[in-house]
Amino acid sequence: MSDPQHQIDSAAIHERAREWVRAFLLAYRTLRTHGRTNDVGAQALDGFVNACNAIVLTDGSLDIRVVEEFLYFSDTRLRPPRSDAAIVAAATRELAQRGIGRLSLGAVIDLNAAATLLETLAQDDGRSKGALDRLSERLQARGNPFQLEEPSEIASTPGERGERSTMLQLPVGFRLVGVKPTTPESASAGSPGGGAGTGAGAGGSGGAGSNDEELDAEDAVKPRAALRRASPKRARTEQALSTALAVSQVYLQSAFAGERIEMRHGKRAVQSLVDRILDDDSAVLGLAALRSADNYTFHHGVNVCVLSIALGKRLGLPRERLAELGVAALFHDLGKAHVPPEILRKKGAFTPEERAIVERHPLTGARELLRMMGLTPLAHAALLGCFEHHLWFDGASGYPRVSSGHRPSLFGRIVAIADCFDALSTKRVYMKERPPRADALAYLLGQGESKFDPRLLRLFVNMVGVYPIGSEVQLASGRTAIVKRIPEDASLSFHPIVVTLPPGPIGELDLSERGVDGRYVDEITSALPLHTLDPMVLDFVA
Amino acid sequence: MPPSDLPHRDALDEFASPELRRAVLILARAAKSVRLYPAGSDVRTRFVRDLMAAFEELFEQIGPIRLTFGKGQVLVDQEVVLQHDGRDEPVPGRLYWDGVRELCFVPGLDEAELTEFLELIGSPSTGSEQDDLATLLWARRFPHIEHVALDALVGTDLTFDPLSIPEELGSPSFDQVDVQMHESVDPQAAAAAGRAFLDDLRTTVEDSNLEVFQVSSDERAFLLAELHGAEGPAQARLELIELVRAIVAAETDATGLSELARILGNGLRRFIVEGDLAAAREVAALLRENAESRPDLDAPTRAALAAPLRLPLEDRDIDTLVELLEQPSSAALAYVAELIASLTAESTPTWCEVLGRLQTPTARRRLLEALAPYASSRPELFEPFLRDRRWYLVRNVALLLGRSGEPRAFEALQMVLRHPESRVRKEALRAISGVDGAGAEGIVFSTLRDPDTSLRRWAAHTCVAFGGRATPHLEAAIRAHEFATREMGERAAFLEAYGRAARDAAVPLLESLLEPRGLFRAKPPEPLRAALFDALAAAGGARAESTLLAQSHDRSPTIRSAARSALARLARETPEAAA
Repeated sequence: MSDPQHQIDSAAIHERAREWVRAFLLAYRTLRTHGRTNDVGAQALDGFVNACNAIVLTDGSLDIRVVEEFLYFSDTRLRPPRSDAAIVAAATRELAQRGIGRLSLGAVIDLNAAATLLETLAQDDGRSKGALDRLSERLQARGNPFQLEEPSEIASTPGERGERSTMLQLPVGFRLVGVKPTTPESASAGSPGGGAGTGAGAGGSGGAGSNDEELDAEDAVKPRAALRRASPKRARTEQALSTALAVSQVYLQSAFAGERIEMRHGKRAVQSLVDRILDDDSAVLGLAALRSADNYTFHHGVNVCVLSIALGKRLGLPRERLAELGVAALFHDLGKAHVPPEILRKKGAFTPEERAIVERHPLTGARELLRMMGLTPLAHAALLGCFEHHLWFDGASGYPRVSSGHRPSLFGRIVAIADCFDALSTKRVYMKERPPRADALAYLLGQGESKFDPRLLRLFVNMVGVYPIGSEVQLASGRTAIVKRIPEDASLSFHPIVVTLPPGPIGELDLSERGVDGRYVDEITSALPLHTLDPMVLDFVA
Repeated sequence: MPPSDLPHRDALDEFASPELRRAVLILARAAKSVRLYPAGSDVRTRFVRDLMAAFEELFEQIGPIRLTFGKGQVLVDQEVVLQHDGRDEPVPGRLYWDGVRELCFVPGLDEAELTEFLELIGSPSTGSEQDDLATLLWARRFPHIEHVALDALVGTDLTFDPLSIPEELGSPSFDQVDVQMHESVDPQAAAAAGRAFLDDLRTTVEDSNLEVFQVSSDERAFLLAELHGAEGPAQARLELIELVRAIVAAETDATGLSELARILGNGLRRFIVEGDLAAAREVAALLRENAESRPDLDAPTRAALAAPLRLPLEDRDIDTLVELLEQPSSAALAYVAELIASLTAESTPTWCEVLGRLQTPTARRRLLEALAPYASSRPELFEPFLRDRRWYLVRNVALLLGRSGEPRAFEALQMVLRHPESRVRKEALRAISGVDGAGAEGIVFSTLRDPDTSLRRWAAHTCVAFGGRATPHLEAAIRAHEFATREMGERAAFLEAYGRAARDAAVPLLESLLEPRGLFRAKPPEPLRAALFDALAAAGGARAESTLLAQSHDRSPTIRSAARSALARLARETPEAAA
């Protein structure tokens, strides 16, 4: 161990490993929240590809192992400095919770391969059994060069300990599992996410070619062939959502750190959303609902923003007012950043004291907004959403306690509906899957007229549908589908336009259509818990 | 605009680059001309026309014109076509700093749209969140001018590192906080009720007329009317303050309230500087009612809420406020009294400073009236301004203190009697006479011997208020040898004051002064006799009347006239005597 050469090697290994871990985690988290269309996502992905390829080119292969709570880079256990400890621990956790004991790579990769790995990991949080098998199958099906293995296999790998110097020169000392060189052909053909959630840029180049531009009936039956570059409209919607999401994240983070927030970014992010919603609210609602399947924390603000603006649009608010409403919604939960971490982390029911603390978040949020924005017109809109989103329509209930004369404003009432709907659409700790969105709607409708403005609630149902846009539903034919669009005609509220899901062809189906016998071609029989969807489905929904 | 619509690089190199440079230069100048010249001026019109012509030429050659903005740069296809570092310049300065990163002018643009665009980007920035150019361009929605704000370029300017997200915010249970907080009522029962409703609906929905999820036009109009309540920015501000009132009322935490007090203090200052004294008054009233009327607050919290009511304005803010108050038919002036009444007496120093800078009599008068109550309750807050170097401010403060009648102001006012400016001394003397202090009379009486003639006259005038107690002092002054040497105006003032103070007792001396004197028994000069008549009229009584009647037959028409007007005055002021 005292060999100077060993020390140099060890330092170099650690450096490369830390680079890789950081790049992996950054890209994984960024893609999970932004998607690869986004500049941030593309940049992070690029960093990850570079980190992987640098190691492959230097060492001949990449070999990451998880042994108990430690991360091994080839045969060297990473001992990160304090500053990197949290990152290494987080990366270890991400791999371990999916049952991954080893992640290996034998050849250089391109953006698509990296993105496919990260997106596949993001789709399965490993909480249900067999995660590793599922992940491996998916990667294999997409021709991805990364290999995943269980911990036990790695433990029995010969020569894994005490052979560091050999390893550095002879990476074959490790069993390189399933090394598969990546070619442009294999990469493009095997990456179903190439178009989904991307605009231009990150992936989908090379083999995508002109065949990707059109989607015929046969493609619809073959999901992989259905890949195509996202439409400019979809890309703009993705961009608007990503921007809003980034802003939402930065704001929450800044509020948490007690830093000043630049409100203009939020305002402009909302303006983009307003334009997209005015253009096609169903597409934005669907995309927002489906994108947020994995990460409530940050998507919630954006979802409430989208739902509120769309409801405002239905009401007939002018464009500038919609932007103000969007600001009101985007900042509604700012006060959560001041709720003590131990309460935020608590999984059980709150004690009355804890509840009282959480009930202060509209007030602390309002104060925070006032601190940052002062008594300005922009602050006015934001304050309405923040301060009033837990007040009941009757003015007498909810929190914080207000004087008897204060009734929640129109903006406050709209945000209250959107907030409750999105919050209740999320997965509970005790559930394995997200509850049907229709259940959240049922809850709102079951509240009576004191909690929510009944006129706005009716309009809300009219907007999202009885089976809300983005809901996963069971059809009478036995297929499952995602609700895409609500018919204008209220008599067809139970017969929306849906996108059918695999198995079977993916495609749009208008449930209001009737056959020659006068009966509907298919019908919704029940709402289903929402699964994490293949990004490809988004192409059809939005 | 899709990338394929961009001018081709070769085309730029071959033709458009110099033309583009020229067009961008004209754009920058045209935007600046809007700032410098009034609408309709020839210079402005010429710039707009030149720009339009340049754009039309480019449209024909390369189609849409896309400009990118960097710090101090305008670029076309990554080539710098204009470099200018001025941050205040409309192009590229303000566009860049206000978040605009790209502009695309597309064919179809006409002169009217271009003019409107130039007016928008050429207008000076107020630095408000509301009027950054990215927002204004979005709100204006020009049909042939597209823009890209920096926020659409996430990852370049708005960097974000997901690794730095605090663990708590990424916690899987974070969302459960929301769930719990929403499911306050029995969630299962509520969802079951909702489901039953939907099931029921499902079976009937196609048989009914399906208004179930609709809102009527009346309902819609009613909802929308809520947003149209605010007429203009001033009304919107009052609504904002009303909302903040609810927030402050709901806040019970001392730290939170202190923070809110600080924020409201800033708002109060801003509203004052912007001239919206109505909004400022509302903020002040909000702070005051919480500071004074909430039983749940401890003393430090109340103090924190009251602190902004001292109105600690900076020097430049005071200048701005003065400018606002001096504007003709100033709206601010209409609210100044109400604002001052909503603040606390501790705001006096600020207002005295304002008073010292005001030039307009109307504004000064309004402010003096508004400050009068504080002069009564807290005269000590005004005293430092009696030592101010601006004599006119000292005089106004003396006036306020005099009106207050507050004995605590006596000493300070006494000091002002030594002020080098006679107008100040005069006001101080008047003020002192109004103060109910033990030494006030003595000061006034001693001033009858002051070297300053105008002050002596004021002292004589003021003496009247002390009635008979002033008589010996006035009499002594009149009998003094040098009295005859004083100017006639002063002598007249003393004589009249004597008549008023001594009443009947004054008549013998006044009569004696009317008698002829000297070797040749010469009558006193006519002006003096006229002054004596006035003094007799002021003294009143039968003897004075009789004397005046006698004088009214004098040979001199001037004296006769003076005597008769004195008699008329006597009759007016003492009707019983005339009867």
